[in-house]
Amino acid sequence: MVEWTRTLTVVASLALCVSVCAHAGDIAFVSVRDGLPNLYLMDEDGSNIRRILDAPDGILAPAWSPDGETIAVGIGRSLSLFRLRDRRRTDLDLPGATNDLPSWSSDGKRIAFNAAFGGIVRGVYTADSVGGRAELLSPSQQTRTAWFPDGNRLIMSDRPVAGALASVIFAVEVPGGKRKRLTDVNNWNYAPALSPDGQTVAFAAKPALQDDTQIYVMDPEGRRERQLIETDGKVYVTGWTYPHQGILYYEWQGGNQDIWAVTGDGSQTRRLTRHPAQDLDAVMRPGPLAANPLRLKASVWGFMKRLTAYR
Amino acid sequence: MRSQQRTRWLVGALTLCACLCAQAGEIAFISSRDGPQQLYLMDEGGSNIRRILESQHGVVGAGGPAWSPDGDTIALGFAGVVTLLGVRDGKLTPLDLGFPRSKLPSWSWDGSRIAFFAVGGGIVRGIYVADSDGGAAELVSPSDETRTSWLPDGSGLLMADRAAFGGVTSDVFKVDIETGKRTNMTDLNAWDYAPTVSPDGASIAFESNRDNVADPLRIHVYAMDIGGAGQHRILEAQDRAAVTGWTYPHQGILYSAVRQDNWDIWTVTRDGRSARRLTTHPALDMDAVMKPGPLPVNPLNLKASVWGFMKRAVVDR
Repeated sequence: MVEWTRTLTVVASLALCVSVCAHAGDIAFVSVRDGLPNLYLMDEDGSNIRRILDAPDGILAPAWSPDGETIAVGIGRSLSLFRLRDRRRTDLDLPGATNDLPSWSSDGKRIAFNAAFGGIVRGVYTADSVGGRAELLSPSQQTRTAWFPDGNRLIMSDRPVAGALASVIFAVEVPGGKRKRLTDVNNWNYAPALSPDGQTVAFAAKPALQDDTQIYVMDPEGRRERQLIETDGKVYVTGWTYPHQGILYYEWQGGNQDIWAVTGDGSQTRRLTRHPAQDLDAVMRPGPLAANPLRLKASVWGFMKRLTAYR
Repeated sequence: MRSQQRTRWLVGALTLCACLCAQAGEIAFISSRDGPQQLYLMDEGGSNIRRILESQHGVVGAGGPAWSPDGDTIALGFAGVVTLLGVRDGKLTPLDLGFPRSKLPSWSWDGSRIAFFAVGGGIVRGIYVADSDGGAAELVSPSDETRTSWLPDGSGLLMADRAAFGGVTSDVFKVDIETGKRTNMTDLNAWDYAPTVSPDGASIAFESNRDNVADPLRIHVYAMDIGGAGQHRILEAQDRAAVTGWTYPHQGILYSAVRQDNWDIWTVTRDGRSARRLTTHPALDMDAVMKPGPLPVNPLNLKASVWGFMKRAVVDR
């Protein structure tokens, strides 16, 4: 009887792992391959590309909700939530005449975004993910943001002083906006992305006196910074892969942008798209287990819901 | 005989004035009234709205179109890059500036150069300047995303940028094109933004929350002399206002204001006494800029402006 129970447990675990592997790896990205910047999905290896959202206003910078059910995305000047299950789109009522570059808190309750134009202070704002009044977190240049798993800090990039020929990575307290500088002030560091386990920050940097930009990693306190790979073009980090802890980025070379992935140790790079049109802003659907160790139950529940919805 | 000549001159002058008045006044703006954001023209009073650019082949970017000084061309962010739109023939010409993303163009007063904001692809984000027919662009100043407005003599640009790292403070600067050196035009602990030079080159309109510094969402219309003196509030808009340009030849200020979550285009006289709503559509209307008048654009380039007018008169009629 005990043997039977063990066997059943092993089989169930294996089945779960297979399902997890089958589901992990959807990558949302933006491409202008059909004329306008539309939203696409592809498999982890770059295959099975399919368009999932059209918008004549153009789409930029998708961000998956932690449960993998919804994509927040800038459409035209609005920030919209696009639910995959029923293809329902909801525009959030936010203060900027332009609202974009969203990121979700790990519990899915808050969204950080950039707001600009329209008689407001330009910068990073936060709001409930169902809408509601937005609050200015930090005036800044346009920047990607990523939430730490505890929801009390964001990572972002900004210039160190007005007019500076430099950009640095910061951790910013939520709320309050108090900043802690994580990178050196002499380089152009930008596009930070936090690993799914919250232990590593990947970012792009243009070292002084160099024309090309490279990918770097460091820990969330700004220590152990190192160059991950050497590229021949200009790169932009957009996210991490699940569960393999690789990094997604796009590279601009010869007037074209394509999406690449690199392993977390920098030993292998892989080109995921190879289209003459611009491909950019790739983000991988959160894995059902690895998204946030502190909220494992919620992630498993999200995974189960997706299983129900898609099968 | 002399009397007859005088009369002819007078009639000629009056006819010219009538022509000028008839030509001035077209306003380009961006609206989502037909779905996606597209570029429209309307007459000075807000009537005769017509779409002049369809966006099947690209996305009209936020932040505003910019008329060339001769009124023949509109530069705008389209499909991600600064693009020139021929107003007469609708021809779109993307400027080959060497950047993956560029937007927020502004023309120098003689039309030979364009300033714009560039970002993405690992470049230093900021304000760049290039010849208006494209070619290599040069970084003028690293900055946040900002509109720019040229000084009449072409030596510099007005722009806004945060004054202090991390603070809720932005100043209006004059930046030298050659050296990138900045000179403060405003220096308060407030959010001063979106400077734009008046058609006569004598004034600057801008946005500010200096009377409500605690509220990042409450910004109104201000003006100052070209040298930075005489800073004063023009009007207190409904909730917040975004300054986008000036009117010709009446020297009023164009702005967008939000009321009940709806953005519409307004104009206000320079003395702030009379504000007028130009659009009333429930969709978003923003980024209004008026076609330069044929004569008063730039006293220093009067001949060029008259020539521009003559060209338009020949082509449009």
